[in-house]
Amino acid sequence: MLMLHCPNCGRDVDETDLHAGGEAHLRREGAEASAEAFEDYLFMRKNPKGVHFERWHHTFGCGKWFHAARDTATLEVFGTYSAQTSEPPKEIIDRIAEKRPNWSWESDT
Amino acid sequence: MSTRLANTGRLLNRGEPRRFTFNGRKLNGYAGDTLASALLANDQMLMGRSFKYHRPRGVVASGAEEPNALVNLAWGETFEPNARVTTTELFDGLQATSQNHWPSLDYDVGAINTHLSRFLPAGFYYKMFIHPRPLWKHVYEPFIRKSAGLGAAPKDRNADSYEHFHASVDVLVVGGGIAGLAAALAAGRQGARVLVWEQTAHWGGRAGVDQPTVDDMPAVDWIARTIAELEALPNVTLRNRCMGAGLYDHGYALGFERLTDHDPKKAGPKQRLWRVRARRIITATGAIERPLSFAGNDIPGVMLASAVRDYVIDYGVSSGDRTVVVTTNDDAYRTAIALKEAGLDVPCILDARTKVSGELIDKARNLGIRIETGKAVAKVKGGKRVTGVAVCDQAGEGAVLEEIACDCIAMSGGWSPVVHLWSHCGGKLNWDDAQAMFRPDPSRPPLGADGQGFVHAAGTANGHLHTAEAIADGFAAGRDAAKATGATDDAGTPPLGTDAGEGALAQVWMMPQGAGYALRSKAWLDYQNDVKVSDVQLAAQEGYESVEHAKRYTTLGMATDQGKLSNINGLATLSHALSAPIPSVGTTTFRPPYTPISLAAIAGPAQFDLFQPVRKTPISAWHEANGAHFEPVGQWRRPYTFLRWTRIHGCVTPRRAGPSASTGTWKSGCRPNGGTGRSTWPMSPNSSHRSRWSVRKRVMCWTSWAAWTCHQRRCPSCNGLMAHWAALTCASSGFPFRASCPLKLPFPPVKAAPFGMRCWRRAPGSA
Amino acid sequence: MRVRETGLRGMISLRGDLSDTVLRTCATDLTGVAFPQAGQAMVGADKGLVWMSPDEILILAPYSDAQQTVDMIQERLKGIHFLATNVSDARSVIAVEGPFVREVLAKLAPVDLHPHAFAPGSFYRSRLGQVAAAFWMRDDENIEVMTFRSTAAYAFGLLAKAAEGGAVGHLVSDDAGDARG
Repeated sequence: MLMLHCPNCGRDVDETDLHAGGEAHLRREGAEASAEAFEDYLFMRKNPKGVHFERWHHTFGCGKWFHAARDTATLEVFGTYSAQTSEPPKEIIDRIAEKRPNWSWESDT
Repeated sequence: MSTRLANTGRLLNRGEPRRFTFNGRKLNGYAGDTLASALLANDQMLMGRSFKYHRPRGVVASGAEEPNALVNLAWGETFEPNARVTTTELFDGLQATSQNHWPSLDYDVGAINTHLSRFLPAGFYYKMFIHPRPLWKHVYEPFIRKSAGLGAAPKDRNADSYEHFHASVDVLVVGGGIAGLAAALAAGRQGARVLVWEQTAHWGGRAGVDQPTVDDMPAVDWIARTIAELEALPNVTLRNRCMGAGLYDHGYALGFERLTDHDPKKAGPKQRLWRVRARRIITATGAIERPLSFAGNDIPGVMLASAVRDYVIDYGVSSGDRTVVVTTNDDAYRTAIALKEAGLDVPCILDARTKVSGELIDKARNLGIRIETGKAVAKVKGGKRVTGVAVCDQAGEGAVLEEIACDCIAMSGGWSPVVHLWSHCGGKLNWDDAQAMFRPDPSRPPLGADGQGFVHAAGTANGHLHTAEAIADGFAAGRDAAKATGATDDAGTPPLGTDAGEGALAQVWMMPQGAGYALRSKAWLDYQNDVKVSDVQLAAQEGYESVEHAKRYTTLGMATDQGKLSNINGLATLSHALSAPIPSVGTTTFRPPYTPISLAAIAGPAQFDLFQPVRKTPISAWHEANGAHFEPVGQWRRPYTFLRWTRIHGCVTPRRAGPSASTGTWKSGCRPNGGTGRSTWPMSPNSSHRSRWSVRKRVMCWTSWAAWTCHQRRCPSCNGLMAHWAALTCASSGFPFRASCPLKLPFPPVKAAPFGMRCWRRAPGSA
Repeated sequence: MRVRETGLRGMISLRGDLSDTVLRTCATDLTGVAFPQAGQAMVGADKGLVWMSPDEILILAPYSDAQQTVDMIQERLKGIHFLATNVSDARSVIAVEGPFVREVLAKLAPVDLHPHAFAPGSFYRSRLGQVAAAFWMRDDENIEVMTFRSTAAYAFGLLAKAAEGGAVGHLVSDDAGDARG
């Protein structure tokens, strides 16, 4: 069971207090988007073995969303950060790059 | 004969007798006994029957690894199946009954299977029950279901209470042997928050039996001193009777604490499930002795050498007057020495190694014990009890050299570290060929949230089988773990252990080496699931080369003991059959829990009215006071109808029959009298004119209506059962059921219809 | 150990920018306690401030004063972006009192209740069994638990059962005020 740091209330929180919200940093397609692009946005998810960015809701706690950068295979957590952002903060990207040299944010997106 | 000895038994309190029964027979034991030692003390070696062949089985081990001796326990109103006698502490009034036999333990009809074993090979079920197809549902499946399972399921509700407990600690130490205690000492002295779990009621593990020297004092004294020091530390919590059940991601660990299992009269919860978040976890879980594979190694009286020693020293019980020791290592000589010192006879030590020398061997020889090197067991004599052993050369094919009369055989094939907890969360293992065991690979530990290993294996669980290394390893693990959590105080000096030196062991996976089919098909690997050496070889022959496939095909290690005794022997046998080295065959996956834990403990407080939250509106109390019948709406309860004239039993709640919540009026066509005109619902509360018949009529009327709605809507809550009930009650009371049913429902004839859902589903028109 | 319902309690949920001085002074003036940090509850005899989330504090007041307090907030915070709601009837408070209060809560909530992490003034929002709950410590032997009113009966049952189960011996405070483990 995971233990994640909620950046909103500053506590390490048990997974049972949280609710998983799926992949983070999805970009919503607008009204003019093609059907394929909208399908991608709605249904297509990365599901990688390795570095993954995801949304978590602190359901039983402060009730706020936050983002977590996590390795889905080893469950290593590279960091959690505010959900009020469209891409991960630089220090998180740097930390992942340091630990996973073959990974980069550009190739991930 | 197994019997109680007068002078030994360090865990017994002979001033406190305990009375219990086994299969109705009244027996006596002492406080401090386990059920196993008390049964042995009463010469009850036969304790159960095996699962497949119903072979007579006795106790093999003395701890959590016991595969054979599972019993039903009962006391008062409580009933518990599949209790391991070796871990059940004796208390007054305990009633134990053996399992898996008919009509009795001594005379079991199912034992016929042992003579049919030639026709019940590995994969029997897969081979036998696939053709012809139609037989599966009505012949094979009911038959298999009937023969499946071991103990009986409890009939009554579980009246005990259970609880959870969440704790956060810096260092969790699993195992209270000398390595675990040394680890706790190092971590505790440095100021870390430490929690120590020990699955038995006693601290110190095997050191209490084997009595090495620690810090120039006998191990028991060192253990007592260490416990006193740890108890005085405010940052250390010690818990015995608490088993580390599983390790999970991010330092999460489950502990299963038995609170009143050893004393049901004690107040409070029966069991407690610890849910711990630890920053570092030390697994000092010890090691388990391996049985040897020789013909007849499952006959009651064949036991692990360490278990024979435990029963003598800890419980003052001799497992037999004449014990032959069969071994591949020096450690089993301790058993021979202990038996001899207790005044028992050891006719011979059969050592599979051709050359032996060392301190323990000299000591045994000086005690006058005959030592035969290069020898093995060709066959064990006896049926429900060992009567003798046929000796042969280990190098040969089993030609009998001599027969030795004995009533107990103590075997030792070496020790396997308990790597379960290390492996639960992804820790990897290395094969140590010199000691013939898988041991934790410190460079590939389970990884935590920070990407660092969070589990340290320590002591014998880390492959250090000798006291000096084990205790030093435990101390170092505790020191490092506490340091990693930021503790800074001084850990003090590490304890120094000394022990008799031991020579190298021999890897023996079959005794004798060239045993033919007749011997191999009587050499058991997995006692509980009746898997023999020949079965694993057959699996390999039939192409089940992956250890996971062979496991499932033969059911090796799939019993309730999860192969604690059989795994290494089984995969060594498989690797021989495949001519592949053991490490390339690998192990099966270790999964939690370490030993079975009760579902009730997992449920914790979620019992009865606390099973699920029921959310209440402010008006809820009023509804209840006015006789509301509630319907569930998620976690809420909505009043569905306010009953005035009868009670509703069972599953039927007619939909839309109550007043609608918003208007309080009745919806048309939904009257309980089936819409026959005169409204009788709700009855006025003061209508006193109701005769019994009229009430009955109304009930009949109502049930037929309910049955109709039920049928109409395929009522999901009762699945049509209600219709049957209605049909039956109407028929039995003579009420014209069919006439009242507007649709003339095609119910099956009442007499021919067994009462049940399946029948209803098959009713014409409802398919 | 004693588990009891504290009875009606005035509770006002105040949402807004918690760093805003006007809002902070308003809250402290109304309750007479210091403004809480994240994860803190400043609770006096009958008034208090509880930090609920980065944009919400809960103002505790006597039940009879609740609506009046909301009106006062509306008055004082005119002009800034905020939301004040009287939630007194939506929530219930249960008091757990006795020597092993920490352990009673630790049987039900997946949080660290060791004195190092949870001391008088600390505040957690987590769950009790299967329902959401918030709790704070008044003193070493007194924890107040707040749940939704609809789940209060369930929470009360859980707490009563946990208290009935007795002490665990892991977090019991000793005389020095320190705890085992």
